[in-house]
Amino acid sequence: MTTTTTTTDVRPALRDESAEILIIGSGFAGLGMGAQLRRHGREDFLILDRAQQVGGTWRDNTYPGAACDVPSHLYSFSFAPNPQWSGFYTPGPEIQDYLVRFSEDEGLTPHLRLGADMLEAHWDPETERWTVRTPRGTYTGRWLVMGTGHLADPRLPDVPGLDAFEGEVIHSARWDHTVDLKGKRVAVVGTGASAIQVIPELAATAAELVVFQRTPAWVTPRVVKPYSAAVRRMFERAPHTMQRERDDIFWFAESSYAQRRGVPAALDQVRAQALGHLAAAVSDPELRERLTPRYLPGCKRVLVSNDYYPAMARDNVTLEDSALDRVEGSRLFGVSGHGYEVDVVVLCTGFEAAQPPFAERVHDGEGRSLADHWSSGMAAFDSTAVAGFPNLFAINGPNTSLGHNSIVYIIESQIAYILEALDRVEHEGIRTMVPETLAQEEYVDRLQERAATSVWLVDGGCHSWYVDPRSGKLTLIWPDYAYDFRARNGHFTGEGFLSSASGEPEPMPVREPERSVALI
Amino acid sequence: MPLTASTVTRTVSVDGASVTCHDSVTPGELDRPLVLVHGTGGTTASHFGHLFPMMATRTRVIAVDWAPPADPAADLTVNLLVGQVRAAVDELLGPDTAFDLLGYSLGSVVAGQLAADLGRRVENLVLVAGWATTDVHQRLRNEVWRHLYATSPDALARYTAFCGLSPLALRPLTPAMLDGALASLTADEFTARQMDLNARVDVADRLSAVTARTLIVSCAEDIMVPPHHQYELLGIIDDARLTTMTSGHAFFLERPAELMQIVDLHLREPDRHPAGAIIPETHA
Repeated sequence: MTTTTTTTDVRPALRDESAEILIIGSGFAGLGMGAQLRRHGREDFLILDRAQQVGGTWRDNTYPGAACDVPSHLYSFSFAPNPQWSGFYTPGPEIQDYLVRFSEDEGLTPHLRLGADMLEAHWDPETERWTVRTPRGTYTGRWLVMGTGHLADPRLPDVPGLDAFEGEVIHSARWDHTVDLKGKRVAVVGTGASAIQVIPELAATAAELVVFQRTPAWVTPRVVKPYSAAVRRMFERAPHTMQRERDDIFWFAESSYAQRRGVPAALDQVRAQALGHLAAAVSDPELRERLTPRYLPGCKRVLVSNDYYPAMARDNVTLEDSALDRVEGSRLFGVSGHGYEVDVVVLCTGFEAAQPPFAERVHDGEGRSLADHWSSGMAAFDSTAVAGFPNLFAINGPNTSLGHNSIVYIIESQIAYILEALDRVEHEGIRTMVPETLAQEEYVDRLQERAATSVWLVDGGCHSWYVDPRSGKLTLIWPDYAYDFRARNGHFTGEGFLSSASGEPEPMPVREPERSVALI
Repeated sequence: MPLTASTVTRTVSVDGASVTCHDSVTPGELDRPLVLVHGTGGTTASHFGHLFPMMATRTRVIAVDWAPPADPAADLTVNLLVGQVRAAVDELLGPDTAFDLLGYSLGSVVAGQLAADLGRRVENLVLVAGWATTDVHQRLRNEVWRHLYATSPDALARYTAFCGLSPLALRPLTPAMLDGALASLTADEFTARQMDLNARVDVADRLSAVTARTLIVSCAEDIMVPPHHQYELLGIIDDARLTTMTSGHAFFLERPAELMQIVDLHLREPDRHPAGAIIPETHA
């Protein structure tokens, strides 16, 4: 076999390695963790990723129009600000470039093991180490940090006949750039965050576009604010001006949390803004009616777009306001019974978020999988560690996503927690550490209590991906302000953990961290 | 529109004036109710449209909308406003229940004096954009305000926006947005009476009697009650610590959630910072 590659990551196909810390995933979580380990003087770690490049979600999502709906000065690391963002919101490739450069600048390249898909991981109680089996070798480590993300594995709808569809089927997160959609009849399935970005792009080139809508989205105007060369140079020369931009964005986003809490005035404001936006773009009252959501804003992600509604009003675009029901040959039928002849199906059906496939692959000391532990919904103590799984941390795992602010802020909070935990471990000679089951249950119960009165669950919710369909629990979302996550989960005190230096695990004494990690 | 689904709004008669009070009723994780006192020309809804409902997710929140005194000839005084807040709180909580108290702008003058009057019944006091003694800089602004109030409502609205918001907060406003904002900046006779009171505030002696654990919040870009006033309060009040937020005077338009963070985290752990501490602003 001959391969040519320009990466520095050329190693024998199978080589076993060990390191103190194994990190799974090289998106914002994995790269941020690695960078902070290095900045805190730790080199004994490896970052494993199944793909051939870093970047996670931003490497995988290359569909036309892919962009982030969190402003870039906030959707980036506080400790690695980027004065060169082209505008308030930036396209996906710009974020991917940022992550690639970040990985290089932070000296992470020697730590990367690419093409190392975690096939199986298990905790060995004898050696007190994790073993991770991958196609390129087996890795062992004392600590396992999951940076596997919420938006990693595409969710494919279980639609009869889709397998036998005669044309191309593309998922937005696995875009096939060899397929030319120009002049084709295209169906888009879904009206979530990816769909509303891809629809305007496809509508402009496709002969016909039909959009299958299970539930309409709340869509608000997108701020268009390019940063001129002069502004970018100001940010570079006077970094406090860039920090001000970041802080302004953060606090504005935080204020919108009132919507998620169902504060009447805040809900009215976002409703009025979104419906005004719709009315301005769509003059046909019947179409407008069918695009009007009937659930509380924020129950599903509130989307930002200036070109989605105009695209839906185009002559070559048809709204099928029912879910895709079945496929017969090259004909797609909605639940309504309407059928459409198409050449290509674009699935914007989201991700396996509530039941992440990685959980099937991670096993405790008795061989029981994380998925099995999570059979009634994902759960973690402090949203970061899991009862029954010693020496494991999850970044951007259960109850960490935000509907109103930047996940990078949450990721940084969790990185600080893990760094402080590792400091404690080192100072006290701790070999294993695991949260107590009772502590985790109490933590999760408190979260569910807070979630019960939020727009995600009140009135029975809206069938969003934030809620586990098996239990009806809000397992993806952190149901509070972002600052509150950092206040509660941004420092490690040992509370709720059992630890062992040798012998039987005992409750960890609660102690303020000796070195409180501030990331900025 | 109710501030939250559970909020009960009613009026309490104080010396013939009809004072509106809002009560979120439902208790929360904090064991004390929180009482909010708005500032000049404001109401609970306009100044605490974010803070009231969101602190109501943490504890029972009560807020009072001042009413003009029954006697139109009477001078408005700090004592009169203190009396309105106290009467409403006693009515809703009973005369002995301890509570936490937050005042903003002129409301912080009122809250500071009420805390001095009530001693240990107020456990935690938060003074946002507060001051003790009106100084020349403030009197100059006050005089311009009164002149414009008498002569030009449009110029008064512009002057209020100019003084109330930080320059960077005004910057993203389009002409249409600015016009909309200016149209909402109206002043009535009761506001003018509060402005008259603002020109005469001198409560430094009273504030030195405050025993409550106090957090002073300074808005860094406030030209109506600039930060030097809050540093003076840090000197006057014994058990005081100070923190800063990046905002003009109108925090409720610029950084409502940052004040929420400050108040929420402080009341959760009020002993975290010792008296005299200057607590740095957090950054995203």
